[in-house]
Amino acid sequence: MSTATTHAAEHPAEHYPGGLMRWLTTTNHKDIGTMYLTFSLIMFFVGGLMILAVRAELFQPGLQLMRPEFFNQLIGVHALVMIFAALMPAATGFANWMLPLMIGAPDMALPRLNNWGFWLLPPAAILLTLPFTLALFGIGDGALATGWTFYAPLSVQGGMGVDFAILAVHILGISSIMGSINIIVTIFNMRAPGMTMMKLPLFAWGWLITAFLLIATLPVLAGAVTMLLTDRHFGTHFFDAAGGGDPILFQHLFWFFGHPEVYILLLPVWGLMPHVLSTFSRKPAYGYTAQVYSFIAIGLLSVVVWAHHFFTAGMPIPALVYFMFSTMAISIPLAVLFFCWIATMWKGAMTFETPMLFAVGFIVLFGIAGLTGLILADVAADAQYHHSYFVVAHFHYALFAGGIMGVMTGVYYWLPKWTGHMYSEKLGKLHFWLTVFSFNLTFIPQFFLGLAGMPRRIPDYALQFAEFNAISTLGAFVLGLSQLLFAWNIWCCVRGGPKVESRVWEGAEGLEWELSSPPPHHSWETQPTIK
Amino acid sequence: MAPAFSDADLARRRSAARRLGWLLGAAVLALYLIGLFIKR
Amino acid sequence: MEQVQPTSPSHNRLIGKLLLMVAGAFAFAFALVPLYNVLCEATGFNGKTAGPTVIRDGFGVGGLQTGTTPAPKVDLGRTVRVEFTGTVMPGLPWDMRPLTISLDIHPGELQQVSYLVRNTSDRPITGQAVPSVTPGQAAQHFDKIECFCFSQQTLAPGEAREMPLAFIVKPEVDRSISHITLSYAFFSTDGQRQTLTSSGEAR
Repeated sequence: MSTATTHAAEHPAEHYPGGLMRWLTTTNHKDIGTMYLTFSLIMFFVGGLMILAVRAELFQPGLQLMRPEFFNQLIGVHALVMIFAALMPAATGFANWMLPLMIGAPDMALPRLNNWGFWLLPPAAILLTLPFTLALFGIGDGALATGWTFYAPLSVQGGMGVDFAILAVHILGISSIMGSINIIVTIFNMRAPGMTMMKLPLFAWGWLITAFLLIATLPVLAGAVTMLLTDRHFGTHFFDAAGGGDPILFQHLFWFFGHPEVYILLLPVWGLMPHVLSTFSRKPAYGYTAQVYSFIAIGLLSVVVWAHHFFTAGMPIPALVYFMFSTMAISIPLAVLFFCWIATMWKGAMTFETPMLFAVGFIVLFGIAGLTGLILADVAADAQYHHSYFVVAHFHYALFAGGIMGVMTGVYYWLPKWTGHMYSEKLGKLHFWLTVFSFNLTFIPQFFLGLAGMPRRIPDYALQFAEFNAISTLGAFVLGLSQLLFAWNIWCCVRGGPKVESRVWEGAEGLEWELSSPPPHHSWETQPTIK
Repeated sequence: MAPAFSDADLARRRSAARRLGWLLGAAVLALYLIGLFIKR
Repeated sequence: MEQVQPTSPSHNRLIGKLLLMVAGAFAFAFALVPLYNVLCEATGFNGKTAGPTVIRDGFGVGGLQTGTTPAPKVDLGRTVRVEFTGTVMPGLPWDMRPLTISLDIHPGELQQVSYLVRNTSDRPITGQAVPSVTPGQAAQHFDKIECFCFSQQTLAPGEAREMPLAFIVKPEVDRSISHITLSYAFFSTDGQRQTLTSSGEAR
């Protein structure tokens, strides 16, 4: 194995500040990864509390706990928090922690940018939730009440919560763009000698496509909310029909970002899956090349299908047909991924440690998300299901079972590597089974509610929906409470536990398992060579 | 982690994964074929 | 044997390219605004109707005498039901209702209907109506000869006025379309730009 010296090796006696200053000023990819993941876990609970309040209101028909305005604020901020402050930072945290270890780099390419990228997040999260607190003191009328989509003209007329959310989205966007640039530069320029693009770990490939999607679409969202801001305060009429603008234009701009965003949230998880499946099936991942090209195909397709989010807004039939078929075409590369995951397990010596349980659960539940998505992609069927609870159930199968459970897979898979300790398998398995059970208890009834015609984003409902809503609320509370096990398990694992070897899992392959657990402060001071 | 699984155990799991695969494949195929006969 | 520096020239080149992509995507969002309007004008996408036909077809105001171009041929072979509706946007204390709810017409026929609009406040107010046609594919074949939406309307306190609308559904309209809905949204022009109507965008 030949070696390459790095700058880190030249300063063996570096001094690190302790306490808070360490975290404020750190440029170490592992510290920053830890901060991203911690922030993500905290915001996961913040967003979760919001939606538990919503589910409590929906437990029974009628208005019991809150005014409809407050309900509207909760659902919108729940979505923004979960998407921008929980899921995206979790994926960025994974990238920070694991990419340098996996590709044999000493650190991320742009460490200082990395630090800025993280420290933009807490102010943005505060901006997003501050209007709730301000309203308690009689300032303003609460947070953004338009739902996370900011649809004009409602958002043009909304209170100051909209301005806070616009600013928060700008800051979150800048943070994500910084993270993406860092990741692309790291993957392109910092790979160990001999690691060609087609030897790159699939997790890195998934993140590479994600980073490019972020760079291509987040500025469009930034542009759209900027137009919204100037419409609100500077007399422009981008979305104001009275001034010759068009509210539907906002929907086009928003979903031009919004649909790729779904893949931005999911691609890192899809990249992670083959690693976990191959480890616990004790077989190499099946169809590496096919998976890489599927990632690329999905990335390209995702930017040309956006209008399926508003089929009912009024479009010429040729446009409807185009968006229907292009949307359905995404199922082809996605099916390739599914078959690769299944083929990886096929004839494998499978063992079911917690990460593997989450991975298999992910495949089953995310499959349901994909299949119900095909129903919604059908223009004729969508006319009935649009804006109903069917949509809510569908995208929670995609973003909770696909996104969050995928992130949990990664956390259980890599936690021993990060901490050097084994978490409690018993608690992990209990967490998995409680999560899967209560998740389905929450969202299967919502499919039926949607089919029966219950509209989303309404704090009250007709009596006929009462039973299913009660079941769904029950499931949501079990789901929320069982996540405390997750936090507790992580906490205990960080504090201590049985020591693990560098190759934590018997069947694990890859550079990250060559380093000690936890890895040294500077990983890969001498770059490994890939043959 | 110490290797908790013996070679015999892993071999047993390999064949179990193969059997389960065929079983699930057959179930999916059966569902598909049944679906062809369902008329609305 | 390669030195890995935190900001090597190759990093900077790549960062430059990526920043250029970010700027390009941001500019693309703003480029979509005119692009979208062009697309809507061309296809009737989203129910944006074509502008006043008055000048182009040589009809006089009122649309009762033919101009230089002959009136389109009436297609007696089929009927299309046109439905009328309207809403008053928040901030405008007006009432509005169509005097004709729906009308069965032959494509090519010149028709006239009117809306009753009343100012319920005790001050004179100026409003502007913005039309929209559903389905969008019918919009480009829906010609308004005369319309109260062509100019701003001022109503005295408590005044009610019948506002006329003359239109032709052109015979080129697709045979699959049997229903067309014409909807107006009345906006208050207070605080709006004076260019509202002269810009030609609010038709």
